[in-house]
Amino acid sequence: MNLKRMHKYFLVVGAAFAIVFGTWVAADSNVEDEDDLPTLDSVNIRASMQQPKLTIPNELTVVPVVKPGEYFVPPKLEDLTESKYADEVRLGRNIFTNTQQYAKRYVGNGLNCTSCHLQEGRKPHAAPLWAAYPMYPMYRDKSRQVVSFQERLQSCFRFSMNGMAPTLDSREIEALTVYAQWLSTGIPVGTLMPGRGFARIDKTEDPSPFNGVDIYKNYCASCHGADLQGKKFTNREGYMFPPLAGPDSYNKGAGMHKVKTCASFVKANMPLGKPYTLTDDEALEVCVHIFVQDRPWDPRKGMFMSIFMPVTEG
Amino acid sequence: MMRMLSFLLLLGLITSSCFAAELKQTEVHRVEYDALANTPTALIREKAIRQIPAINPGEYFVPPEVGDIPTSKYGDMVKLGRNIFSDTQHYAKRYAGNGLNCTNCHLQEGRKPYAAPLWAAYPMYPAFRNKTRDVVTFEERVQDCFKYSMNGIAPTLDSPEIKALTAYAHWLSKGAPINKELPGRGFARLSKPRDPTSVNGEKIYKENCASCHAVDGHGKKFTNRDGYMFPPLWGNDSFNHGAGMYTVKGCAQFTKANMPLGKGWTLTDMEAWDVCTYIWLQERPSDPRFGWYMNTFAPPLGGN
Repeated sequence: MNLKRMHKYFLVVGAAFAIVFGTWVAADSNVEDEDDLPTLDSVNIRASMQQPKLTIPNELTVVPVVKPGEYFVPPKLEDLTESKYADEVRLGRNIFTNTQQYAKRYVGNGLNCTSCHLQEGRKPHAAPLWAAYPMYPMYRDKSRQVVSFQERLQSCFRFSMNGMAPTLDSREIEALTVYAQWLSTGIPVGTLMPGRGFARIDKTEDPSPFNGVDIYKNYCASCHGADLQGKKFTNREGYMFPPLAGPDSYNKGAGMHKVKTCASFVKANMPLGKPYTLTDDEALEVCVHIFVQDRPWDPRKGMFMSIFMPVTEG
Repeated sequence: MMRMLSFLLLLGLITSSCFAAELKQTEVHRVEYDALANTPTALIREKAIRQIPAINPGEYFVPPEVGDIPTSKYGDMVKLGRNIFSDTQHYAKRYAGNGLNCTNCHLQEGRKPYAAPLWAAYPMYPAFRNKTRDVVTFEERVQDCFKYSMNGIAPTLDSPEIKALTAYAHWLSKGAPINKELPGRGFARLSKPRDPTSVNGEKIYKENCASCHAVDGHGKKFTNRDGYMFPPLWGNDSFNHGAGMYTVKGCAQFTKANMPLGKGWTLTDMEAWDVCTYIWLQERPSDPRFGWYMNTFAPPLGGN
């Protein structure tokens, strides 16, 4: 045999062998890859989940998220230019978010304004300031007369904060008014804005306080405490979660003491971060449970009740 | 007989239709009527009328109409506020120390653009004021009006007068965006080509202002009832030295846009400066902020 011929033969055989072996190896490696695909291990990726402290619910409910374009968006705090007006806005915001420090002398309980007016008074359906300010002065059934925004604030201090109302020309009322006016920049005067006040509640049956106890234990007690006294900060003074009853809560003259108002607030905002998850009847029932608790008396009937039936200490 | 009648009828029909056609023709070719040629010479106005910028309806904010005030307690407060605003001498007499009404400066019940309309002011408050070096609410601003422009005593913040005026301003500015400057806010913006002189101002005052405000500047009273038909510009019954209208600039800006009444924007900027300098020099109640000092050394001009 000629060596040249042999060379040709080996070339052909080698090429065929290479093709067959190559495809086999490739197929083999493919199979290997599919088998040993690295699965995402959440514990490896997020170190915080190695020791999970919270049990995450498996069945998530669908929550209607507040759409950005649907409601009015108040101006940002960063956009404020330096001026005395801006200083007053910042003071108003401080009083609003940290009433316990900036308006302590006028406050009789442990709440802040933001305990009800969530997200610094910006959140729709949590009584946002930007929806309230353009409507005042307006007639109020509670006081049976036309009240200005400042007088409405005084009512907040008197009932919801269970304190003494600052005078109309006080720095606190003025700063809060400036803050509200700044938040509602651009809203036409006297228009009802979507997101005003709280959610609407449709009652289908009379609420019972017995259901409310269970609902409270399931949904509310982890933050507000089983005794409804709220949860205090451990490293500083004040409440991390506001008390719903007891001497540090709103008094019996407050709007939140009404079952309907409380329920419409709960429906739209509670449990925190999971709004609109309770049904209307559940919200009403849990509010009946809150309604029957002990709390400070209505200051309009103050002296008599405070002397003869003082509030029980929490 | 019947033939004759029918013939006559036909004839009449034809002739009438012809007449009708003729009448139509005359209607089409009507004679042109020249209004100027037939106007008596006495009624022909001067030809060099200055260009007056008329206020266009769509250009400025239009507040709601008085007929639309709701029938509720809020509406009652609005009505009371309007009464106080347009007839301060009757509805807030105890707080007013002179003969003025709110509408003397805020013309047309606080509606007229460039006459410090309420609908442009209300959404801007609370705002910082240089005068008080503080952020003031609308109520406090109204108090200042009583103190200086009305030369009186300010009602308290919770008084029905202040509340009613605030409700009225709130209702007037219904629909105006909060915290946004609207066109027509305050008064006119002026240029100042040279320093104003009161000598010119006196001439301009006597030509343009004296017929209503009187040569002595004490205004013109009603003959059949109390109060002023045309407000006094100086003297006992006018605003005091602390008022915004007492600053020459404030006065000139107001005059330019609104005076002579019904002929706003007819004075030049310089004429407005001049006439306000003349008004500024006249005597009037002293500034209440310098009260005891002025009362001692330059006592007020005496009672009415």
